[in-house]
Amino acid sequence: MGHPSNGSVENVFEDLKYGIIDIAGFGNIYSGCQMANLDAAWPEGVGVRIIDNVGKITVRNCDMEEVRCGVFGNNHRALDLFSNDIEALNYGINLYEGKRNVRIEDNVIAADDCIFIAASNNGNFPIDIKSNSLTPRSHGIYTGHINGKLNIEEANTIYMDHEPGAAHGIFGLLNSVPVVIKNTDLSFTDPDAAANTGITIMDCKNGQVVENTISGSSSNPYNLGLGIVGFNSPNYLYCCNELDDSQVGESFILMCNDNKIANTVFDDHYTALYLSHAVISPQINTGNDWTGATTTEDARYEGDFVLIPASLFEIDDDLVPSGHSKIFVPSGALPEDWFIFEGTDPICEDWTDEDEYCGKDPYFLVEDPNEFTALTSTDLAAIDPPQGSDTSAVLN
Amino acid sequence: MDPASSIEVNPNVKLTIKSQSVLHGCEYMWRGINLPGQARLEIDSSTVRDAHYAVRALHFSRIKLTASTFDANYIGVYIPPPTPPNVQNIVFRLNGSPNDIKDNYFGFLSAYLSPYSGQSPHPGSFRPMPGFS
Repeated sequence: MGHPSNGSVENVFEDLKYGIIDIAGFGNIYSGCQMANLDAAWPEGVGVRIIDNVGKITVRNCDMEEVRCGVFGNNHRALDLFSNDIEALNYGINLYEGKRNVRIEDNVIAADDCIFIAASNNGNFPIDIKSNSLTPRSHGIYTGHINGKLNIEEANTIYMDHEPGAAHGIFGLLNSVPVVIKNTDLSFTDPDAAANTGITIMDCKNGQVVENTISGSSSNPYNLGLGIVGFNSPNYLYCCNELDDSQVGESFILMCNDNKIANTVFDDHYTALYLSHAVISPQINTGNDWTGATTTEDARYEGDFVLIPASLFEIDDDLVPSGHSKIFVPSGALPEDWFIFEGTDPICEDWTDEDEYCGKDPYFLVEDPNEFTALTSTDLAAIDPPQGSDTSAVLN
Repeated sequence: MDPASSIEVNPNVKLTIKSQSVLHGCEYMWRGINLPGQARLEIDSSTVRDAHYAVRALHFSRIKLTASTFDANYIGVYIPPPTPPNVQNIVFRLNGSPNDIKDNYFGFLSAYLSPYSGQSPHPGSFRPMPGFS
């Protein structure tokens, strides 16, 4: 339907391959439609398929059940998708190769992948994902290869109750733009689930993960494998996140240089903070908090001990009640080489300076994000190893 | 409707179908209602069934569909995309109301009839294509 200001209101679509296909449309509004039993094999079975629109398309207040995919946008421009209720077999909302701004707000979605956005080239036109209630079986929100502004914030709620596991609340892959993930409430409710991850940031750079709450099942605290994972993702801010009931609270792997890990609140974990062959850059009085934590390991560094100074934690000892007794480092280093107890740490509310305020500046600490890269092996070779540590005080 | 038959709505003509009317094929599918350009169509409280394109509207045609059933058609409502984009070729807005397609049912209550000779694309034996395209 390629036409200005068309209205499709309160129509019922059942037992079809597609409900609506909109090609090259602009200004069209699909409101109050009911779609059911559109379960043809993907990529068919779509409630509203939008292709090459030249103006904004709106899908609102629609109720979709037993659809393969609720809304599928391809090579799309502006989209406004809000207040829809989607029960999909594969995708709730799948957007591919978008070019303009998108609002996804106040939707209730249950699907394998509730919101799936890939290969977007939206530049300065933001994708805003706000206040959605998601129950995924695989990914709550998947974002991959995004080249444009992406904001996942303002109270998205993700319920992970899928038993087989290996599911992700939010998964970011190869995003090189200032993605903001803020104020998400992520809960893993099925005590039999396992190997799930709350927020995964993989091969991304220049983003923020702030003020999120991630919790596993209290009856099986470790059904959530990992709360937050940063994998090979430099220049990320992780600030004021609250983590509870997971095998590992927060984990960083490989080159995560110039990350800032601030005011994380750890609760019940086997290992609260886990670094694997990681470089995250020194964390000097950034206010991470183990005071209420119940852990076997407050922190563990896995990898070559010579890299530890590049991930130093300088912290007020009041925030780590167990001291060095639950800090584990590889052979050749001491816990004291990694955690140095001195200074005073801020609380979340203290982040008021504009340059460092938690979650305020998407380009935090970097003036030109385009020039920012992960450390190289040459950079790593220049790191001074820990001084005075030649014994294996704590073994892996 | 006979096999491969159609209803052609000429330019500057308005066709109204209402009051529980039922348009359907018998043994084979039919082509449907075609608005080649600058025509008007209103369907209210009626049924269009067994067509290749139940409604096919082109070039400044106007349609208003309300409280009707579109069943076992290959495509319910087909409006080709404008060429080039941004060229307005269909006007949906009737009497200032945006609700030009409202309270209709698009579905598959009946099985497909056999395709008419030369029908392309062949509808297959499975579910119809979209309600709207």
